Amino acid sequence: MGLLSKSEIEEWLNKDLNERLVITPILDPREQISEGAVDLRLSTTFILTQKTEFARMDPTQGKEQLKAEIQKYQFRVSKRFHEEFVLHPHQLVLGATLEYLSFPDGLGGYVLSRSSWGRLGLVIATAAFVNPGFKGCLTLELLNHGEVPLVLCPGMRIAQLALHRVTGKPGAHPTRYRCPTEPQFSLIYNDKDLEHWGRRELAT
Amino acid sequence: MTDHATASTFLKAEQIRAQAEHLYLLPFPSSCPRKFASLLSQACEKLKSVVIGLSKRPGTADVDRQISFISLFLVDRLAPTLRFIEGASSENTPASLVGPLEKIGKMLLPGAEFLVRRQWRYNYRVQELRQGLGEELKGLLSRHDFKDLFPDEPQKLYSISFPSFERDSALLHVNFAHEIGHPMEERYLAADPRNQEPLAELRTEIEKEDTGADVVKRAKDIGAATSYWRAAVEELISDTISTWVFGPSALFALSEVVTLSHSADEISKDLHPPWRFRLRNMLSVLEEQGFVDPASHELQGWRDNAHSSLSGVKSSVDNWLKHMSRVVEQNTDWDAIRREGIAAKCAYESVSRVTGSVRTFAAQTVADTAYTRDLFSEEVPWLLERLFCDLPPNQIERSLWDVRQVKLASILSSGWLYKLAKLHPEFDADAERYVERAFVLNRLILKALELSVVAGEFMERDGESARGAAKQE
Repeated sequence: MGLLSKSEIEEWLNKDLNERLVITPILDPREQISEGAVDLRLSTTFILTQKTEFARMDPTQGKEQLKAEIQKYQFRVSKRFHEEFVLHPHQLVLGATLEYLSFPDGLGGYVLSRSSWGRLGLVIATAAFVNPGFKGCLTLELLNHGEVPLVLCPGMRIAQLALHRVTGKPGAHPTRYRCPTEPQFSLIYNDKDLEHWGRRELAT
Repeated sequence: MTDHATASTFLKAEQIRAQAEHLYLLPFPSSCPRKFASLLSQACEKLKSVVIGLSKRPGTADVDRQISFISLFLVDRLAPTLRFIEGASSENTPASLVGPLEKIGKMLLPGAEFLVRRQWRYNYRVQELRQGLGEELKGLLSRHDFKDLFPDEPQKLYSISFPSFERDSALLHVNFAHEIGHPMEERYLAADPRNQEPLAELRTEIEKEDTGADVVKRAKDIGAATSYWRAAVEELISDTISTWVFGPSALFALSEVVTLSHSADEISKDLHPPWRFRLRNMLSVLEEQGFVDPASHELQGWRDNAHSSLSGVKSSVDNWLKHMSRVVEQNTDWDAIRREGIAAKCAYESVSRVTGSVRTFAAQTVADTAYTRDLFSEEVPWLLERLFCDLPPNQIERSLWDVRQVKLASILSSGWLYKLAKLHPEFDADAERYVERAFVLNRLILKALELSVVAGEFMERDGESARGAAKQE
């Protein structure tokens, strides 16, 4: 599985709308598209955690309760363009890409940290794979691994999207997060086997 | 007695100041709410000084009266305005729409500022906040303190309210343009002395009709006719301006909310004209602008076949327009107006005669921001095609190197056409899916508005040159 080159990425970005890789807007194509990846920008909404309300987050406590807990555990904050968002050391927040993406059936992608930000401590934590057929803004798990607070502003190029071909017949597109335009809360409670693996009274 | 009232007034001023400072810290989509919170906070500080000054004077009836006056001003006038700030926070507003709407407002009413906020009542409403407060503060503060608070004369700050639970219904917020049009009625009357003549003529007409009435009844009728006339002209100006700014979307949006306030053939308690009367005017303006063909009642200049995926859009929208034409062809609103009495009859007949000058005034007012049929026909099909692919209709992207920004009105028009042609039929098939699709549509429109503004600003600075340079390589 090889990554797409710059010219291949541009080719996908120029196809007919129905089969195009859409990344909109690419404000500065010359700066944003490089060999193998497209830089993505930070959007204006963030989800933060409310640590004081919880002793711990237990995903095995039952769907409805877990759903409510997650909504209480996390809250949204909006920033305007040109305003600062300060990410403190070891703080995890959810952000989103400014760009709205639409993946055709033949393409998948990985969201990665940009190395220049990584060297300052900013890491795009997990959930890197983007499925073929995905439509929406990507949720980014932002973590400051560094020693000092980092100032982030909406619009900054903080992530990169590496693209690769996906072969084989396309399956049904996952619909868990439908055309999101803001960072999404975790939907871990939709995991069907979650309760099975949870804590139980064990026979001695 | 005086001591208690004085202390209590001082405390009230401090409590309102503290609340204003607390609200100041909320995130807002524009700078207006914070500026207003700051004004309230400073006004309270100044009033506290006035109270301290009064407390040092010997207790007289005059001092008691002044303290009582300040106290009433604080609780009746200043404190209620805090809700405007709270309702204007980013969380409570369609944040990505606030900037573009403020921009339109400033173009239509130069010098004024706007604060968009939610309200719990189901309607759209405009209210002036700052100039009115300034007038009252002038009587309470020393000239020095007033000048300190308002270095220039207080400029108008309009609050535009929307129904709270419709926050994300971006398409409905086309009605904001109507609200921005309301303050134009005074400008219309002042624009040309001839515009006021019908008001004077109302007296003669009432006298002609009211032959058997006594002096008191006649005076009442003249007063009522004036109120009917001014309210109707105000609505007509606002509706016409909204149509000039947003094209057919103005009609779509008004028709969705107006039916919830009163009946088609009734003058409302707050003197809004029967909505059949208003929609008739808007449809007629759209015909004059070339959006709608007056003979067939269909969209004019729209070709589905330019974008094969859009077939069926025109017929759905045409069906809607034909339905609307049938609604406004009925003259039952005029029967109701005549039944209302001589005052309403004379007022509305006079309003009908000034429709032409109202439209000319509105067209001149919005000349710089007018939305034309050519733009509609050129931009909306491209944007609609994006919506059909679940993409935000933020710009026209023929290719990576051929990207064009579009008018705000085109983004909203594409949303409305999608809603009429694609979304409404979903309801018959699956109501739950209809709701889900409606939410997706809201998200895509709000995202498109945000991206359109960001891209426009970025391109103006250096992105356009970067794109051009890259294309040459």
